[in-house]
Amino acid sequence: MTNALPTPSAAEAGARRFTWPGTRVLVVDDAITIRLFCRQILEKAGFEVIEAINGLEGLEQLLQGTIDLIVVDVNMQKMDGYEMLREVRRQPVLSAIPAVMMSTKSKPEDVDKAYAAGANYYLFKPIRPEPFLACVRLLTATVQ
Amino acid sequence: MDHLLKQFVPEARDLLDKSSEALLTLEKNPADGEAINRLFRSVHTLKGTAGIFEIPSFTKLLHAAEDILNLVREDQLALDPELVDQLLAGIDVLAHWVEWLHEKGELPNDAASVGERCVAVYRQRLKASAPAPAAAAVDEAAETGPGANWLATLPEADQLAAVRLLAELGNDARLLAIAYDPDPQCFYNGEDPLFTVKQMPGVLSVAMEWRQDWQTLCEGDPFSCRVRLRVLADASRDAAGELFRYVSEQVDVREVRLAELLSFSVTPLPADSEAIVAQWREDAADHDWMALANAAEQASDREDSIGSSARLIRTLLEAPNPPIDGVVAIIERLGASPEAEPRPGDSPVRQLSEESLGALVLQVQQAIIATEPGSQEWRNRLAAVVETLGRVVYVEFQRDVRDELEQAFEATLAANAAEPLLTALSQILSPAPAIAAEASVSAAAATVDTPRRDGEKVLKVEQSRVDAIMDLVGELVVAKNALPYLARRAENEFGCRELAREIKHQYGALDRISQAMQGAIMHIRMMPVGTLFQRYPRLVRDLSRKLGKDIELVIEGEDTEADKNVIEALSDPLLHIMRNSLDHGIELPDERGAAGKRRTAQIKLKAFQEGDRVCIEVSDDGRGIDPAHIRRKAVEKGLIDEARAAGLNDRESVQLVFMAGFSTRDEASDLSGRGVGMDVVRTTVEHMGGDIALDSEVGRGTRILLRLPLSMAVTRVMMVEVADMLIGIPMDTVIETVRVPKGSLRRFKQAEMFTLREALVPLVRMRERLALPRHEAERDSEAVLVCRLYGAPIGLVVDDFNVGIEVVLKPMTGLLAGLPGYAGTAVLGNGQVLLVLNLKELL
Repeated sequence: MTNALPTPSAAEAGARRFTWPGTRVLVVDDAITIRLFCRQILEKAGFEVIEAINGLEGLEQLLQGTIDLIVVDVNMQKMDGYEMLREVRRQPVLSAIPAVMMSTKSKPEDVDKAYAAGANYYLFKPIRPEPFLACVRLLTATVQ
Repeated sequence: MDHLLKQFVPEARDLLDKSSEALLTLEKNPADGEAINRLFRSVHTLKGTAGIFEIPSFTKLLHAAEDILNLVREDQLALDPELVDQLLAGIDVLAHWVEWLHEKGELPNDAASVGERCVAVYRQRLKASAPAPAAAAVDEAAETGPGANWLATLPEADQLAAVRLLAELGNDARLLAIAYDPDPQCFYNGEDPLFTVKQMPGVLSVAMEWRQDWQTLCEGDPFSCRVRLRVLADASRDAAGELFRYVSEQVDVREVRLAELLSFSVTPLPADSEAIVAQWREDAADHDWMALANAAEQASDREDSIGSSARLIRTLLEAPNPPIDGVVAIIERLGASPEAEPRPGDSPVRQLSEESLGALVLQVQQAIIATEPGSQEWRNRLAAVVETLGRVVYVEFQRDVRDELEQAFEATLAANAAEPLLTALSQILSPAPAIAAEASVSAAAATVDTPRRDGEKVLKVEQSRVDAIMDLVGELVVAKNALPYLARRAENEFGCRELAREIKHQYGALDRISQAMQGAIMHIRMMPVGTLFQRYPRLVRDLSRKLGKDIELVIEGEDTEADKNVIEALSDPLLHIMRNSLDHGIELPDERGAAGKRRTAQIKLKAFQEGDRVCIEVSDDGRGIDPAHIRRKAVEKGLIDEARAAGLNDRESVQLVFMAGFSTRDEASDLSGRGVGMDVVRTTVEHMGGDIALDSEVGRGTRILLRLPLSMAVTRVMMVEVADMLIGIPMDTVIETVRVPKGSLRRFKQAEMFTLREALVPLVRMRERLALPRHEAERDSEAVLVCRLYGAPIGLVVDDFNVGIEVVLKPMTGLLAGLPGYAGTAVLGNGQVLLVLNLKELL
């Protein structure tokens, strides 16, 4: 599989080409600073950012409009990231939306738990602008 | 200040407040699982957020605290008062740093050392709580043979020196790594281990470590050798053999090459290492040593393991003939450390290969497909996996494979097994030409009733912005008040009655809107008194520990809301009342026990709303105030004379504490402070338009009730005319307006009064009181504004009544600031300045 893949730079270039205006990313985190951080990076790259402060609000946002990608924190009040993703995966209308989970938890079992809950990728906090953006670009690529 | 940082400061403050609140709850009730979770979550969130700023000391401290909390949560460490103290101290340090970040945008200069100290304290606790068997095991492992693992702990300067030397010596160079564990009794054998080691030629590094946990001086045997020596030297094996010939059984000598020196895993890796290491890898893979040197240079100022690796790389690349394997080894070990074990989702580029982020994401999806096939969760997850695969494959291969994937998805669901999807995926990923597939997919999407739940939406706005709107509304109110004047002028001066009516009509509309607006903004400024109360648990805890008293604080009604200004202004008076209660009111446990009371005293802090007032009640079950004692003190201090003191009943006597210059304690304690007494509390409360009441019963306790307006922003005043001047009287004191016929006025010695519904109301002539000229003409009746003062009615004789009006009251400033009797000034619609009286001060 490794051999078949293009070099990182090509993938990067490709990702850039496939970002469309109006791509909507839902950022769910109880820390306002993190939400703002994501918003700044993503908006600068042309994404539309929707924020939610916990899983419940995240679900509500999901039901209100088309979301292309979910970026979600683990620890939140009311409904944490795992619960939210499990709920998203249970709902037929939402279940196909890819999700990236981000957390300071870095043990392999934490990562596995995220994938089990329904995440499609896992980023370690503190998130850095470049990898974060690259990841969002890749996962929001839309087929023409 | 950086935009993000600006956002971070209030959030951090909030989280720190929550942490200490949870900590105190937890101390009281260690079994409170919700509190420990709350505490943990706050610390964790703060750590995650702090990570995006370059404040390593801050993050490190949080990290150490989190480790401790983790143990507490898992019941491996008891939350004793000492630990609470230590954690609170940490929170204080962080809070202090947050204020620095707020003001200066950076941490104080001593942050690193202060942080280190706190972290050291936490580490100590961690170590102390580590299960004993584990510690023994570690020790045992160390006993069996030192090996060369100690090289991992080599001080960085020494490591750099060794690496530099090896790099210069060339590819095949070796150093000697000598681990010398002297016999504890060596001193009796005439050995001097340190001296021996110093005889070694070409020593690069000498390190000492304790043989086992160091005991206190009195326990240890000063004549036994308790250290181990670790030496790195550029010397031959023979030289070492010669030197250590008498103690060869205590010495382990081995040769290390550059690669071995660098092969030890590095922990902990900072969380942001991923991207940096990825960059290094890429440069190394491209053999772009220039770029790598630059990248290493950039990271070389860091204090973490990435920084030390960067310095190593730089050192190696500076050598005349850079040992590339060494460089690669350094980069490798950053990836190979336990923290960063290769796993799906790890750094975008894990090895020096051509793997991309896309490849990793594909691997992750593959792994997800393969986990627990057949389970309901697995089925639920598939749609998103297929969607992700479609997107990533499109980016990576510029191919639209959605149809193939959909088909495989259907097949997988039908078979309830992972194989169809996995097969399809491997076919897609194989270089073979794409398989044309027919689309036979129906959209799985169906509308489903999903429960809608209420989420709170919170908008955080800086206070100053709300204040700005408030000010503007204030001005709008003033501008609005100009319309009636305009209407009057239109009618009287220009004779346009019709226009005047229209203006009045418009005024009515504008009045309604501006009032609604005021209400709305006022509502924004309302905040729960809980924000004020939350600092008291800490205060009570700290002070009761200091005073040796056992006090329980009960808080009620913290959801009661009041204007932010009111709450802020209450902070000091309330603090003072609380301290008084703690210091004077509450007895020592033994004294309470002797009096037949519960040893644990109670202070109750209660807030509630009563009409348009917010009430805060502080009550304790302490010793109460002894009226006789108060009377005696007041006479001693010359505040009242004996005769008056004798005439006071108990309730009245207790009120004497509000007199200026009254302080009952013979020696001022360091807690309730000196000089500032209850009189200051009273004045502050009254300045806010509130009042204060005190009840006390000897032996049973004291109760203080503060009643304050809900808002201080807009004041309704009644305007009256006195000697052609307009004067404002705060509406909340006004009871009614009456016109009293001259014949109804009664004179009683010097005082004038009149009867109002069978009650005698004393009169005050405002002209006299304000030192304005007396009336020239006799009047048939007097205009009397009946106000409430200290709970009793009083009549103010004025020339005439005007209208009630809402004003934004500005306190007197400059020279007039000290003038008693006035609450402040307000600007009227016609630009005239209205003086508003403070009746309590004036009369």
